[in-house]
Amino acid sequence: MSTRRIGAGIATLVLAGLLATPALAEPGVSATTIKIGMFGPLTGPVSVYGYPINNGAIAIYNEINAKGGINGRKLEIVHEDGACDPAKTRAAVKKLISRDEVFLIHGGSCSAAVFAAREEFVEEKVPFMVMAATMDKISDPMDKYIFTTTLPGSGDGRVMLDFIKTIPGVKRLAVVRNKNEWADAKLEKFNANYKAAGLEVIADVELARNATDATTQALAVKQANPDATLLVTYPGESAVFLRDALKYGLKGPYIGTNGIMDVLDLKDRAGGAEAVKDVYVSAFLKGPIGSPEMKEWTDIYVKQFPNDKLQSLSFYGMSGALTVVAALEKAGKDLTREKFIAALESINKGNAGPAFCEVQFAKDRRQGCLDGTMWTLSADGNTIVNLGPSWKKIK
Amino acid sequence: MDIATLLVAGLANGSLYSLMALGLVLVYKTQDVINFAHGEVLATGAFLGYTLYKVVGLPYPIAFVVAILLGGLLGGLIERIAFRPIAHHPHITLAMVTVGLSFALKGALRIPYGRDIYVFPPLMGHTPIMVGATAISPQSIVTIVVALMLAGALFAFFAYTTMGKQMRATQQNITGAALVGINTGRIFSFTWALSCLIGAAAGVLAGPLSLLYPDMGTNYLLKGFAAAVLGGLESVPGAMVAGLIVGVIEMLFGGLISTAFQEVSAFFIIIIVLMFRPHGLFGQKPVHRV
Repeated sequence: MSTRRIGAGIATLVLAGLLATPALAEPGVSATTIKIGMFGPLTGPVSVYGYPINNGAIAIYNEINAKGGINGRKLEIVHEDGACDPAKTRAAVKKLISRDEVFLIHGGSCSAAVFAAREEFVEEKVPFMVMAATMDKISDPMDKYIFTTTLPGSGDGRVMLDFIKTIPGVKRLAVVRNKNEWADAKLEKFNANYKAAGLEVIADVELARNATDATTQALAVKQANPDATLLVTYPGESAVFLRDALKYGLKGPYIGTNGIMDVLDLKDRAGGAEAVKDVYVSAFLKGPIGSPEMKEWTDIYVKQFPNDKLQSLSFYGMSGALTVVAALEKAGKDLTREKFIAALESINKGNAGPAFCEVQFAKDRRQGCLDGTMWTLSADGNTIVNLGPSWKKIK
Repeated sequence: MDIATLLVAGLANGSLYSLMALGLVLVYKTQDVINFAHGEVLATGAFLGYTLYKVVGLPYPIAFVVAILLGGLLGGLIERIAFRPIAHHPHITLAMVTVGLSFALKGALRIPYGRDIYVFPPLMGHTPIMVGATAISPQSIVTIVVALMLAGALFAFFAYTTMGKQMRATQQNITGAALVGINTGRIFSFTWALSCLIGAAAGVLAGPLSLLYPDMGTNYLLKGFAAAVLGGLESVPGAMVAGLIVGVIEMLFGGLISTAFQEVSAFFIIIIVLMFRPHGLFGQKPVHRV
């Protein structure tokens, strides 16, 4: 056989091979599965939050698999631990993309860690749905491959500011805050707009992460004598501050971020209803745990994770998972990353599941949920009341 | 700002740092090793106290005593199982074992308690006692009083009991102590038991001030370590006093200067002190044979 004939034969075989498997050429997509990479803080102190958040998304994906999958393919989750550490998170994302060859990634609860990994998605052109991180810089300025259905920090700040404007007699504010990028994101838009709203910040007090005492902060706020106090702190520190505020006779109202939207949990941590009786929190869920609006999503979570303690965090990842599922269905059987991105961009009034919003993406929009509401405790301190955007007196 | 309120809160936090420092100093004096798992000992004590008080339903004083005794038992077991076989290895090896132990204890706590955060109710409620304009938390009083009682008991133990004297002898010269017939192995076990008993006591006292989760001890370890270094690392009275100093410094700094620097203020002061007294406030200048 001549060399030319052998060469022609090989070329034919290669061409035939390429033509025979066009649908399987996309990373992470096989005839029977779609690989979804998932990362989050699964070790270290923040794993307290990492597991319930990721489990909410996993519950949705498992539910879809139980119903037969998407276009004949089951969803296969590949897990990596970022430990809420920027370097580890970037390494985890690299591994998911390069070694596990996932089709898309849905993950990330720690803003700084997710932001550190941002370039990986941009450079590798891998679709990324943010799980729960709220830093605006992750998705704004927009990149073609990065989407979020989590209310970004700026949105949270706007919801709180709009609410404060409606509280009668509130002009002078104290801010109690963590010193980190999470708090900065919440306060960026707030700081840019509070003066225009006729408000004044008369005290800006810092509370360290994992603080076990807030005596100095409570006394500093008491000395400033504000009309209201803005809490931009994580649940643990918020509870410590409210406990010490009560101890030293500080009065509310307190306005908190959606990080402490589980006010019943906050009540337990702060030592009782008295500490949280004048607390109002931003929320991006349709209703509190146990409310009729949450039943469908509660059932799904409990079915998949019957031994988990149900908390607000359990629902954070669901809106992203539902949006990923909707886009995968829309992208069709002949799945490619470009088709998936196009499907995401076409989502209009999408189902956000337990989240308060409807998902809205476009070619120039990657932050899909910008709506929130405000919650507080009922007068007896036993249930959460959805106030909507404006202050109302609780009877 | 009310200085007296800051001082009382600082003394309450400082009492916990003192107990942590005491536990660290005891082990360091005997075996020349920093126990990096001491934060997890505190967490274990807190969870034991919580379980006995909230789950089993024992009265608080009994839950406290049983929890710290169990903490002591844990310390004895740690020494017997993890340290006795390698007691004569280099100090760095022993230190690394304590690091491993820290992870092991955290992992062990996660088995029964999972990843939730627990709330340890205060012994006497949150309502402060008002003395003039000064608000004093009842839990702060409990913390300070119990810590001082424990420290007093420890000093009496070292001064008046045979075991205490044997421990001091072993701390001064292990070989000499062995030569005069002291069972140094037993002393090592007892030292670890005593150290962990004090750490567990700090945990039960810290529980109502903090929230309970397996990583809760890290911050206390750092502050306790800072106090131990400030006090002189080998000085029991130094650990006690320095813990109180650290607690008061950070409270005054946060209250009178800036909350932004409250967490680092104590370390800042310690750096300055160590520049002038490298052996700490109560440590003795090392003497070298020439």
